[in-house]
Amino acid sequence: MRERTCVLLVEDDQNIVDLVRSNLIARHHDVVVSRDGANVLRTLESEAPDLVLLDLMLPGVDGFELCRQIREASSVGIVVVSARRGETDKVRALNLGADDYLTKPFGIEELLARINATLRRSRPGQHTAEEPTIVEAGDVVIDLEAQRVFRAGRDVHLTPTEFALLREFARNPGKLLSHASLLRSVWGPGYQTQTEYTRVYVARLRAKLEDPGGPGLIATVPRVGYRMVIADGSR
Amino acid sequence: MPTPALELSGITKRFGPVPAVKGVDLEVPAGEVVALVGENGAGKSTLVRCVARLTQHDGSVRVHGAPLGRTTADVLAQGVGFVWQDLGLCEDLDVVANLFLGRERRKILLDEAAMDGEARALLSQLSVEIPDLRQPAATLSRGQRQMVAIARALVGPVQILVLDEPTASLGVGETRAVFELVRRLRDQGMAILVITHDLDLAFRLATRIAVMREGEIVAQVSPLEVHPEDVVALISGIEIDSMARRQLRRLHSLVDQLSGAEPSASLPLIISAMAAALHQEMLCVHLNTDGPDGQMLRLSAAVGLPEPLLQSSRLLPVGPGGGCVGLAAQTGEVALVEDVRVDPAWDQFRGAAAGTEIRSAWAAPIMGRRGVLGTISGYDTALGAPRADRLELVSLYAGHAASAIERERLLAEVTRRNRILESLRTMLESLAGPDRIEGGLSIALLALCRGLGAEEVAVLRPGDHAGLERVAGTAQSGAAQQAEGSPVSAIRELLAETAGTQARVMSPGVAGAQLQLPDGPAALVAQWADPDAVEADAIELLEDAARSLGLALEREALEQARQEADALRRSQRFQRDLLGRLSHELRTPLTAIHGYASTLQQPDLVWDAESTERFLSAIAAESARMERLVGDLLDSSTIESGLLRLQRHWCDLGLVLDAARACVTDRERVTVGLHDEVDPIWADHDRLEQVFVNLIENGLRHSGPGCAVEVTMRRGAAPQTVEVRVADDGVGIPPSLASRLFSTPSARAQGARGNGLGLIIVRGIVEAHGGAIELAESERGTCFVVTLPTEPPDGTEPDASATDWELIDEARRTVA
Repeated sequence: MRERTCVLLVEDDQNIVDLVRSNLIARHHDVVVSRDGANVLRTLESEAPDLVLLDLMLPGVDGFELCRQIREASSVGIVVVSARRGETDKVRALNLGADDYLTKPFGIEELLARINATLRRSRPGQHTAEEPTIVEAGDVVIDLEAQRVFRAGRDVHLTPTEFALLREFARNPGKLLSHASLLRSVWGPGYQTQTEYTRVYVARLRAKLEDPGGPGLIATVPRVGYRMVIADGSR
Repeated sequence: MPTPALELSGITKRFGPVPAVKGVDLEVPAGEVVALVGENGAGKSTLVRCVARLTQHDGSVRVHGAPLGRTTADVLAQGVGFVWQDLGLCEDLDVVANLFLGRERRKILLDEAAMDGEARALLSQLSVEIPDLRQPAATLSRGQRQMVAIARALVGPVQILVLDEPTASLGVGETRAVFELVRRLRDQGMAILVITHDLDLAFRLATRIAVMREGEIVAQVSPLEVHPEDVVALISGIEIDSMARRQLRRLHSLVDQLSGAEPSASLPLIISAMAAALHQEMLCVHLNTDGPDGQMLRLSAAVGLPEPLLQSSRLLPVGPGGGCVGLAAQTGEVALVEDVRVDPAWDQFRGAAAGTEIRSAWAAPIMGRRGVLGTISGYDTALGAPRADRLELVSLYAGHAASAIERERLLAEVTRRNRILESLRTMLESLAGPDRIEGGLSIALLALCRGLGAEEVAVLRPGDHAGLERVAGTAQSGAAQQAEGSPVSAIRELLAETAGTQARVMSPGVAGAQLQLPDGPAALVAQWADPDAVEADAIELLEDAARSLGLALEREALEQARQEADALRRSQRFQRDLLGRLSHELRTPLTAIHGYASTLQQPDLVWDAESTERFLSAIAAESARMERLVGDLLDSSTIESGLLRLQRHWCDLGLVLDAARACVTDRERVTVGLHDEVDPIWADHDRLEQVFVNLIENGLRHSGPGCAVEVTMRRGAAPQTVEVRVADDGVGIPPSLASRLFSTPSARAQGARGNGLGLIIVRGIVEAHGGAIELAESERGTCFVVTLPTEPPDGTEPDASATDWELIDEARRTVA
């Protein structure tokens, strides 16, 4: 039997709590609920959830700020749920560290699919034998097997979604990867048009792995996608 | 409480029949600075002279609880140090000698080196820097002299220090040094009493400010709790009142200053300094002035003079008719009255001074470059002439006074124009400032009018039929109102010219300048009673004033536009917030409905009967929630667009309230009390029920479980009205929100249940009934007061047509 995963649900509306909890339990997840977001950080530590489902509109709490705090404290997968449909809100949530952004109202299948996609990214493995184990690009060293990244010899901490995106680049060094292909392989089918995800996450990788003004690790190919720049090849 | 270092109770001092100090109580605790402020003649110096035993008094002074010593020397021995305004330094003695003046008999000080050492130690303890202790006092700066005087007062075991105007003659830097010294002494535990004119000193140093007026302490205030303007008001005896009134009064006083003829503001200072230096309790200054019968002497400042003498001295002729004062002014020599009983130079005042202790008097001329400017006169309770050295001092002070008067006259000439413009500027800034003043333009024009010496000043712009329209002005008569004659056409010509045209005389006694109002050109017109009084610099001033006025009005218009833009921005933000909030409110039930439905539809899962039942009832509940929300939305947009029509009948408000109570879920927590028998009212039963359901639910939501909502009905204060109060005992509404309560749902905490439309709807319905709703003052919780008229408004047919209402109901059903 598969290992059970734990989902932390941050939501104030009783009916939606009940809805999500019933469905997740039926799909063999454990569910912990926080109604007001007040003790989320402590719950993160005590329950070590695999994923946080975060409603942005909580009474008396700035959901964006809560998202930032969760991301600062942990690399847990964050799926934001919000009634706000504007692209600015979505980009802002992604920038603050959310892995995915789901707008209300949503069908239960869509919610389950997004949860599963985010969980899949954070699970290790999927490493195949014919791939290289170590990829080097400039001063960045990517260990695909151990899921670790070093820059100038120092360990760089990436969230699962950030690593999943970097892995796509490492598997295809120097190759042009389109927005759609990245979205499909990292986030899953159904995301092909959500280019704000790739834009935000490439920016996050660049912030962690590139020197400002220095040689770029990931080059933008306008209107198409990105390519990882390999200075001295890979082994 | 510890015994205060210095304690005055019931101190009273009379000069003859005139009480100078009336029953003053004052305490100065150790480690505190008490500032004694008040106008000249308020009795401050007299009070301190009582403490120093320089004059006898009634009442008691206690020093550390013990009675005050009987002589000045005894008082000094009790550890009280005094620094008088004249400092009393010996000019040709050096610093060290001055410090120990009168104390040389102490053994240690026989030795000069030891004296040096002790002086150095004392000064360094006070952080006073005087490099050469052997330099004569005459060569010290004013600040250094003040420091040496304070240091001298502190020789010996001094625990109480009395300072008389320590900063009156000092510059900014020197004043700061004195402040520092006083602060250090205070922090070392010294009890300090400061007499001062300087409110800055009082507010910076004092722990308490005692305000003296007419011999009494009228207030003791903490500088932390009052505004300097309040202290000024106390000093001058004006009651403290609201900021706006104060501002208005400030403007009026500016106007008065502009028109006032008082040439010398420093005279009161000079005369009080002189009184202290001469130990002369009664002094006055007369200034030469042009009267109808030639040169006259006007009383300009006085200290300690009995009231009858004051009255009879107000205006005196130059020459023997003015007694000794008139003689001194006429001859330019000191005039003496050695015995008031016999001297003819006292005939003038004998009656007025009969009841006083005055026995002799003198008057000295104030000699300016162009002759006699006025006189200083003093009155004594002893017979005979003053000592020659005192008369010398008098002439010295008279010289000071003369130069002060000359200087101020000169300054007044030079700065008159600038002062007018400056005051105009201040006033106009107040017009556009955060607290705007009603009628500010008129006040500014009034000031200008006085400044110009004109009869009337007005702002005119082109009116109908080649006439002029008056925008604002000083008096309702004069040039502006003369509809015929040359000024009107001349002013219209001026208006027609290009901007930047110079001001000019329009007709005899009438001058005008172009003034750009925000909405078009206008003219600033002044009219003089005497056409010859129109001087060239008045025209120039008129032009400057027109320019400043134009700028100020433009600034005011800009400020208004900015405020309007702000209001618009706020309203847009409000709409955006409302939309955001509503989309959240709508999507939450929609999410639940969509989510539960799709849950049940999943092909690979079979739910048990209990779960299925729960999901279906959740769908039903969320649908009802959406229906309510959509209904509220429709109601509020109906109200906003003015489409709300009421279906009115005669209805019983008691029944309405009972029905409303029956509608809410937590009805046990609601009590309805009918205090007065109220006749049926002309209203829409269902809509009023909605009002009270909303208010009651609002109350229940905002007070915790177990709290109660109380509904009471009584006759209203106005005839033919009824008043219903809905009060809860919850957390209440912060005042900041109260004003926006009926208009901005987003202003409320997002967590509060309810969509925020409820109160908007309540207000809309109540107002459609011709009633009003407001938030009442309440000790705890929230209390809404709904006032409704009982009768149909005059002239309206009781009309029960419900066509519109049915339409709206139809719309609600369709949408829901």
